[in-house]
Amino acid sequence: MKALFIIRVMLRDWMSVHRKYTLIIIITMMLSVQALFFVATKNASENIESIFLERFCNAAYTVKPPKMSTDSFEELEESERLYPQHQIKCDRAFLERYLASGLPMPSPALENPADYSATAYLQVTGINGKTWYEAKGAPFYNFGGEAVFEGKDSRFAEVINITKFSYKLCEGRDYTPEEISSHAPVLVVDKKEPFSLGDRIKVGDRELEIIGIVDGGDDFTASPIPFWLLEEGMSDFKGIREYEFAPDHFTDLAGYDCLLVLDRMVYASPISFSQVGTLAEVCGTERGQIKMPYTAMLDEEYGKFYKATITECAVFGLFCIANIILAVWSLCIKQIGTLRTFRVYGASNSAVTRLVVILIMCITLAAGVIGGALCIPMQKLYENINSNYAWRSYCMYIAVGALMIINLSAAIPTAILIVRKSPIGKEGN
Amino acid sequence: MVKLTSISRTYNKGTPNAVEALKGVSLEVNEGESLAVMGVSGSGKSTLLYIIGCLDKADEGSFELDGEDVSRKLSDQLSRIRNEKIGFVLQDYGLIPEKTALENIMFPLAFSKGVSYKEMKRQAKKISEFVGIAELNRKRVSRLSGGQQQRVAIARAIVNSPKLILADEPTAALDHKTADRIMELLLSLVNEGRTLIIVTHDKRIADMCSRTVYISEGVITEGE
Repeated sequence: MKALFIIRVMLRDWMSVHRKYTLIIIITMMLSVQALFFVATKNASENIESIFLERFCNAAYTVKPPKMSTDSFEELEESERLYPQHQIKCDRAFLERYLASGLPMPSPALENPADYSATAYLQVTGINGKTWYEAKGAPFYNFGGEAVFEGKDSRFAEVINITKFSYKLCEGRDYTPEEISSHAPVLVVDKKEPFSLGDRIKVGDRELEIIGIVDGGDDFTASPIPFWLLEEGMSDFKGIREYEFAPDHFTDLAGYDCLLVLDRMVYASPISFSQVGTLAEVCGTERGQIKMPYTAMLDEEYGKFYKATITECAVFGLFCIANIILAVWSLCIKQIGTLRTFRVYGASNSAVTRLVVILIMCITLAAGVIGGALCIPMQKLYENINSNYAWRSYCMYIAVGALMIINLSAAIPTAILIVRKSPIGKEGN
Repeated sequence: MVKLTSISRTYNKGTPNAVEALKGVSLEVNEGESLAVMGVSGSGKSTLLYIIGCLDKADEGSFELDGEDVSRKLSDQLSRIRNEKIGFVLQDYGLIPEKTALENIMFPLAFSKGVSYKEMKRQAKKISEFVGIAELNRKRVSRLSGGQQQRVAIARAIVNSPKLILADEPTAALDHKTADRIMELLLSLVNEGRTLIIVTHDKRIADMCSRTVYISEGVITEGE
């Protein structure tokens, strides 16, 4: 209570004598905190390389982004027509909106398959726990029309869903759309399979004629098999006990579903917050639903971010020190009388030092808190964008904390200086 | 109460700007005595007052206050002595203008050990009544007249019940009528057994004290 009384006396005295200085100090502190916050967040935001839009499901999709061009519409619509059971939808309106928005094309030059490794899969469970799976984002994997399902039983061709065959045809011919839609008993197989053109083989209870031989690659065999055969023929195939596929994944693989294509978009270069807003509009969703994987940014860019923050703290710390010098200067020329009175009435040097430190801290802390508080609306905005972004909201706390520490470290020596320069012993006669 | 023996004080010692403020001053002031110290500007009277008030230290000589040798005390010990035994009345009052009279009177007690905030307030009210400014307790000091401000300063000086009161030109800024009232107040404290040392230019004020010494060029040249 007594300490509070003294601080109150001193603060009030200081504020009354130095209204102008107080105002300047508070404003500069506020600006420095805000500037620090904004620069830090801007720095962080510029490191966003991908966004994640959670629209339909929580499945961890990573798909290779489509080639965004109107040329692909027809292909998609064809898939939609051919495979109604797979719920393929060509959202032409969405694609057109996207193209019109001016947003960059998603990952136009992604070379690393790891960046878009597919988690979509078709799982076929064999007897004795032997597992048939899966469609990964292998080099052949292409949502533009094909999907590859690898199998391990040599009696059965690897499964390829195909709407437009793009493998190199060695012999014979490709399926026609009519053959696919009418479930014609024909089959195209990989050249590494033990079949020849014209052979008749049985898949499940269906007898099929080999009409084409393809080169599916050097590493594994890959035969393009229509979905209808996968569904109708394989379920009865000897050696397969059951199979299942996730409709959403299957839909993706079947032709790529435009509704799901934005589950994750990876951009080759960072996009800005305003572009995130545009994207939200294009998707017809709330901005807050767009996830920005800040964690990834931290992993990759943490060093850069950290250094930038430290640099900014140092720059604005200098700002604070300037404030303190201003405060101390005004304190020296105007308030030294009060300090003298304090000493005259029994305040020791250490007590005066403490008082000066507390006084300066109170002023700068108040300014810092006000500055920080003014950052809150902006912080809320960022939080709305993504809960992960809450990490970045700590920029504000880092800013205020750093400024306070710098203030404290500057306030102590300046307080000692004031006491040493106390006029008590120098007034002379 | 105060015993100075051969006190010397030189500012900027060892430099070309050295100023000998006090040159072997010896002075004794008894308890319950009122002493006026007179002299022209630069004569060394304020230095004398600061040394007696434990705000400055003599370069040479010894100083006893209330029977205790204080010439070799450490800074914090001197702070304690100032707080407990000495009350200052400063020339410019040294008040905090934006605080109330009561708060100004209270604050020396804030540096006293073992005095609660409640006790501070109680004691300050008691003293303000004693000096006749109880009705001003809630008023800001900046709104008080010079005489009222000086009374607040006196109240603050005696709130710790000091044995020694040091007043540096306490009436310099006041008209005669007000100065006389202030002196009456100070002398009433002497009548209570306190010791008063006043630095003044005013012969009329000095005459009200029981004893007067003159100081010139750092030497007490004339006394009593």
